[in-house]
Amino acid sequence: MTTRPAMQRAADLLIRAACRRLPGEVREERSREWSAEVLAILHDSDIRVAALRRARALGYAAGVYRSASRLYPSALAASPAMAVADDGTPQWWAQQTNPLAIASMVFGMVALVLSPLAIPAVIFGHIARGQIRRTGEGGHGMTTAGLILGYVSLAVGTTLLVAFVAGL
Amino acid sequence: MTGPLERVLRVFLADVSAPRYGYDLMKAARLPSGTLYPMLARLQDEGLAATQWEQQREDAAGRPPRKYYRLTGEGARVARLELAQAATRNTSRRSPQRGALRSAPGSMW
Repeated sequence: MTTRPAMQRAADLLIRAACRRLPGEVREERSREWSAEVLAILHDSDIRVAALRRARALGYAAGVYRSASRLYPSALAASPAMAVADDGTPQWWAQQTNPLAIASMVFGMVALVLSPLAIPAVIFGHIARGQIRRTGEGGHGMTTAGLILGYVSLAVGTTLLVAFVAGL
Repeated sequence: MTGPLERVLRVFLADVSAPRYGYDLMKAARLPSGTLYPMLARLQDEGLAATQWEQQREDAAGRPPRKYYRLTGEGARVARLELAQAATRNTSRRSPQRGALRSAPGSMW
């Protein structure tokens, strides 16, 4: 089954995306720290079911991504990558994440337990890709996660449906 | 002091000399990663927590080293003080928040 690499890949993507939100000098260290934690979760013998371990690893990575911007508020203000634009907005604000990319990833995650949601995940993912290509917004990694999760859930859902109907 | 911070400090104080890695703390304090890491970063900024990388062990079987957190001496002192104060406040006024936090959804993360 392809869920294993997909979930792990989504977790890795999220951690990479989280690290890109950090000041350069701590990126490498945080990346090593979080990747080691993902492995610790994937090998956690307290969680019996492998799928739950993978889900937890994905949730872990999502939390890391969500909170990355709060980790180094003072360092962010000082680092050159965080330069301030003409109108006084820090540049990392200007780099907006495409909302459909976020929606695609979220739907993709939920689709792992509720297959029909894979459809909006895939549709949003493709629309977001197009928008990102045109506008240069952030969120490309999220669309990748959303599309992978979406297609995997779609495949699993369809297989289950066919098996169910055939079994009747 | 907030509920999550209190829980993390309690976990650290359970054995001050034991360094803990992120996932270990998440499980012990029942906190999501999105809450834990900003909190640890703040503690570190204030000199109350310190980190160290795990020594590569022979039996690690290729597992990458983990980053461990522990309270500094000052951190342990401040944590004990804060927890004692929080305990006095809680006995004088029953806080409905604690129960709510315990059953909060999403605690898996």
